[in-house]
Amino acid sequence: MILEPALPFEINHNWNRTRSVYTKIISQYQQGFFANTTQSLPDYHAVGADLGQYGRLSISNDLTQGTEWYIWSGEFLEMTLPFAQPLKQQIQQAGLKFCNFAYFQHQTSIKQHVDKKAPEEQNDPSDPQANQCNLNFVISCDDHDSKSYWQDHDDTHVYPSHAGQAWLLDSSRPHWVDNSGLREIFQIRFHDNYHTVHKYFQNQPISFTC
Amino acid sequence: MLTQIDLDFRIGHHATGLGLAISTDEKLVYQSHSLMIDQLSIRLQVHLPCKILFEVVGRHEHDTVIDHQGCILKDKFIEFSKLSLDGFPIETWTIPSSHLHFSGDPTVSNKNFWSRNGQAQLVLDEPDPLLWILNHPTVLGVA
Repeated sequence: MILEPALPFEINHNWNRTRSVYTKIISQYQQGFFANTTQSLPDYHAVGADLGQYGRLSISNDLTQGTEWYIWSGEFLEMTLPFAQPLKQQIQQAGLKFCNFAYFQHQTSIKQHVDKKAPEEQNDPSDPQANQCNLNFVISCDDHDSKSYWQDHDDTHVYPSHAGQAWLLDSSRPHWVDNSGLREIFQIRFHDNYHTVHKYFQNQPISFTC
Repeated sequence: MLTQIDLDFRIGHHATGLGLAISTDEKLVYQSHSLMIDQLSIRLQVHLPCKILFEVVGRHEHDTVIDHQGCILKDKFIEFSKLSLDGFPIETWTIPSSHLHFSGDPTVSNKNFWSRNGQAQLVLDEPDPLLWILNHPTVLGVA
């Protein structure tokens, strides 16, 4: 087991606005206001709701013990994040392939899975899910023993969920979370391999206060 | 919450005299006694929730000039065409009547087309503009 070190990545921000808009969007989705729901890709474990200019929700329940896990991304999310544009700019100027920002909450463990790229995003026929990784910034976590894992061939990497810290995981590899209680994540999704992104953040500490 | 509000208007004019005053929470923020331009754009920084009051003045019956067949040749009007909240654009016709109401002419159903003297009120009754948008399905574009 390899204990994954936290990245030098810091965001000091009041997340209440993001939380309240996230809650409202889910409520409107549950009331049927966003009917444009797409079917999941094979083994994707989620359906997607296109919210138009309000973003996108990815909804899964088979990875989270039957409870619904909503992952929100898009322009409305970025409007609640004053650091979104400069952070995106910094990432893109470094030559990294920024995919999106996402915000989510969940209350349970997350079963082992591999993130699926849409067919048009796949660029390695021998490994369609290659070249993707996620930076997970822990906003809050009720479970002090919460742990995230990802498997890299024979090694299993593990990191805790300490609020205010960020870790990188290779989402093209099997990964899962042991957790009980509210866990809240700000995520940056990349279409680069883990090592490229990890090297960048190790050499480029990031700090935003807003 | 401090919010940037952009208001866009289309103006119908052919002589002096059409006036517009805009107040936020009873404080006058814009006034013209004679609009002689085709487009008017106004940017405000306002704390939400708030009410924005528009007052149209100086419009007379004879300002609508028609030909012998009754077709309008010239007219004076103000059309409130677009509202943007923190840069997020909303077409005003999607705003529900409960939140955008014009008192000038009850026979005119188009609440953002003002061709009479009167007052229009825009009610932004949420502290967060994003929640205001989400709370109105027509604004949201899903109703």
